[in-house]
Amino acid sequence: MTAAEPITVDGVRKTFSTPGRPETTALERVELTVGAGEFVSIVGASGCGKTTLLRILAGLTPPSNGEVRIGERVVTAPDRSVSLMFQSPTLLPWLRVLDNILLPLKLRGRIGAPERDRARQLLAQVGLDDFGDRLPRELSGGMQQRVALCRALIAAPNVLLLDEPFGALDAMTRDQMNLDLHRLWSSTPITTVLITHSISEAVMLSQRVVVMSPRPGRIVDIVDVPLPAERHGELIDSPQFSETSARIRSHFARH
Amino acid sequence: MTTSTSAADPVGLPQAGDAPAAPRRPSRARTTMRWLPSIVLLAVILVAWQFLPGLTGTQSFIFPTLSAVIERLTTPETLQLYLSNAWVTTYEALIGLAIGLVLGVLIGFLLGTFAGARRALYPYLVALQALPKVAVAPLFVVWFGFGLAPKVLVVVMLAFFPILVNTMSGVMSIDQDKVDLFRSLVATRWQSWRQLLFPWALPGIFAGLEVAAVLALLGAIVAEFVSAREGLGIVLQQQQNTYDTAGVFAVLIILSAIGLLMNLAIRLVRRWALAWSASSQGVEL
Repeated sequence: MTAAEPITVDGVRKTFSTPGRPETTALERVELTVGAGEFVSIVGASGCGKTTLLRILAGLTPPSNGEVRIGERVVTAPDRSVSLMFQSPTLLPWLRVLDNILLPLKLRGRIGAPERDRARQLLAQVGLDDFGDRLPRELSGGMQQRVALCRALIAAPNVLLLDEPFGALDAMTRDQMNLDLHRLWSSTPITTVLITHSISEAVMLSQRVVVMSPRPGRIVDIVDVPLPAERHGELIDSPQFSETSARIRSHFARH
Repeated sequence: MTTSTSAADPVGLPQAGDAPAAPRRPSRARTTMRWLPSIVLLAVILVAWQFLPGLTGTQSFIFPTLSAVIERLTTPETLQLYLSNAWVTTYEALIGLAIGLVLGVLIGFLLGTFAGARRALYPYLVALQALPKVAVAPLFVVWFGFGLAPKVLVVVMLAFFPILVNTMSGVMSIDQDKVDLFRSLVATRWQSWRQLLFPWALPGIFAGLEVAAVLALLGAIVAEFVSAREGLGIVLQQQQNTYDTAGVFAVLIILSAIGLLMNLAIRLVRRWALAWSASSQGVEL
């Protein structure tokens, strides 16, 4: 069963060096704590290091200094309790939808009727009941991304890391996906970090929004979202929503 | 479009009574129209082949008539000779192709996944590829005698490179997100090879295999030219020595039939193995 775990980012710094060029600092002393079961978004302009930060959380890139802890464990490599979702669906084109969803379990070598039922159940929750036997190329971009979301959740992870997963979708599909994601997140205890460049998406989904600034990538503000736990489309018209969005947007205004 | 309409309806007037059958007829006519040019061309070539040598007074050892070639292919004794030797040549080509496939895929994976191995080995493999391998065939006879081994070796040398190159570029064309996905799922190296890189490289492996199959047959024939007791290469040489040009043509027809069959077999397996791939159905612009 899942047990959401907190994430601690402790003095993380990341520099990249290319021979013959001055060293670039992608992240400068990042300090952040995400509570167990919390939903936190990270917003920032391109090049602010938010994707680098997510890759460090996922154990795909090592930090130059500092450390990341998930629960009590220091992250040094990818961890099976952490699930990752990319900007592109990243489905395997030769596997049917259901087998794509089951991939994380297949790599651990245990697939039976209960796992298949669980995959079908997840598919139904994102409204794709009848598509289990299709190939990915028969699905639209939004449908493929929903399948990717099911795959990210099938192994019941403690932590879910989302790297602009809906960035390539049209606005209407995106709103629907946001509500799907919120519903799935609130039905399971899972610590979630969402990278996005959409302020309204961040406010709509998160309990806190981390604002990052580029060159060097660093956290400039952490904003609490004063919205009820249960989120729905109408909240976008509430004064709290506009005030929170305005505060986040103020960091991106040119001075 | 206009041709198919006029073929289905020569009068060119709409007829009310024909309406229900209409959708089927144009497509049938279109199929016929598509094949018609190549069938007509074949007929012209066959007729010319039969009658031009006589009309121009060409001697049959320089260019035999079609009927002389067909006679070689239908006489039981010669047909028996051709088929038993064709089997020897096909056997050499298939064994060499199979070894080349395994070697090419393995080394292609090695070079595609380990940058160090690529830097160390690839320059030498390119140098080996630049060498006209047929010229090495006499050396193989010195080393391995007159049996199956030297022929298979020539075939392997020819067939392995296109498979290697296509496997390697297939493996290296994998996108970073898929690699990151497998890393984040804590897949073992073998799982990543078997469940990610191999299916991903499979279209490339088949492309290489198609090229390699043609080279395999070529390699077998050339190796037989150098030294052999049996095989179509030897039959060709003997017929050339006795000025049996009709026999040479008959063997050439059998060789292209073997080549076509091998190509057809590979394409059938590919269609089955790559059913998931949109590109295996071809592109329509």
